[in-house]
Amino acid sequence: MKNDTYVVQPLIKGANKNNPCLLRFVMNEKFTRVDFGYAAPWIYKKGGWIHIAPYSYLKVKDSKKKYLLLSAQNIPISPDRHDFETIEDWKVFSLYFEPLPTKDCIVDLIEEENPTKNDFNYYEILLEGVQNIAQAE
Amino acid sequence: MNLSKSAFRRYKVIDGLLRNPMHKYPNMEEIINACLDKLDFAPSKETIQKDLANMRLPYPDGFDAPIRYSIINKGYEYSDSNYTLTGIALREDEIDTIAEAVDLIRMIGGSRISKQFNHAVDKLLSATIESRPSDQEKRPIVQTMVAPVSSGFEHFDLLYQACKDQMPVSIIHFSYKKRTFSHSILHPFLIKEFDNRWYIIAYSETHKSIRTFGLDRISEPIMTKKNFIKTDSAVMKTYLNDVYGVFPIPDAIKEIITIKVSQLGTHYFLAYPLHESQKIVKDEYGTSEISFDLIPSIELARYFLSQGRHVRIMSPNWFFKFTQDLTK
Repeated sequence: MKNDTYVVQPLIKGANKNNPCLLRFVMNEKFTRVDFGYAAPWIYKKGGWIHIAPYSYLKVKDSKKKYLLLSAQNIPISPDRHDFETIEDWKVFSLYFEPLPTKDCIVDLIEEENPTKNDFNYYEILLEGVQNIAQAE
Repeated sequence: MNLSKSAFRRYKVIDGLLRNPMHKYPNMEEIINACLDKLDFAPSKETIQKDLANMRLPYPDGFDAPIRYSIINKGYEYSDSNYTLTGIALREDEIDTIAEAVDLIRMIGGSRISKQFNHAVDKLLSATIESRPSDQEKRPIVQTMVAPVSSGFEHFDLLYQACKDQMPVSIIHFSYKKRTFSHSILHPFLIKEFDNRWYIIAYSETHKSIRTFGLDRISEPIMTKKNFIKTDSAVMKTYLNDVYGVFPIPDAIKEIITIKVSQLGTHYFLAYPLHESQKIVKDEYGTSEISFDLIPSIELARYFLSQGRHVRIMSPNWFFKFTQDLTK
């Protein structure tokens, strides 16, 4: 991935969660960015709230190495949180992780190792065999 | 050329004096006074001498200005009377015309003008126009309907560039109706404004067809190096000329749409034609039948609905039914 940035539309072996919906990987030598969309659900009063755990990480299949969360854009890192105002609100946010070694791999995105249904855990995200698109300068 | 803004402003004052046919051969004192008058600062004699020397330096270190001192007339002059510092010799009235045109664009465009355009205009003005009344002194003469900056308009420059350079764009899109997100690669060809809302029209890889996306629903666009899928020029022309609004009804084709319009409504259609294909046939009572050669669109249906009893769709029948269904 020398100096290039790749935009990858991931495939998820299991069903992609609707909320947050994992949409895109942006990968280069400095970071791996994961873009999500989140629509405030109707089941919570005023749409509820969101945040991301600071110890979230990416993990390549068959490897123990964790690629840690570096920063988050448009979503607070816990214990801070974003409170929605209505059940119609929506948000696109990005998580920046340490750079993955390759763009062709299968990864897990883990927020909690013992997750509840509210945690942002995604398993077997395929970043291989999908079309990679180098970002323009 | 490493040049400070204040030095360039002095050069422009000097250039203006040397090109003034009404007062030739300005001397050192007159140059200093002109700087004081126009720049609110009186530079020293040494500074002006240095400026004159710098202006004489050949390009790119200077401006190749053919400045010489006339001993007979005791002042400075250009040995080449056609020389001008900026390369374009503009008269005062021409500068005024340009400034007025820019003002008008700003009044009409308002917040809709991109940052890049504003930057270019500022550059032009600072390079050619020395002293103009400040905005506070100006009295607005034209007021247009200008909406506040809308969500998603920050993507205008990137999408404009993508259309111009034919670069695919990766976007995240949110559907207000379905409340779902999607990632798409767009091959855009047209940015269109309608009713103060901005849209991008593009071939969408996800949909495998040409689609319209509101800029307000687009997030995080990224320009990519992927091969661009060109849209047929005839299709582009259709989107430019044959659609009222931005969302043509799926599978609809260009056809004659006829409406019956009340007397009052006829006045307005006469005064403000909806489309260049509009044809009005009035009867003796002042009511009319108006036809358009257009691809029926959602916006056209909504417009006719908004006219209430003043407009009734005569044909095609399917479009009449479509419009009625929008009210349910």
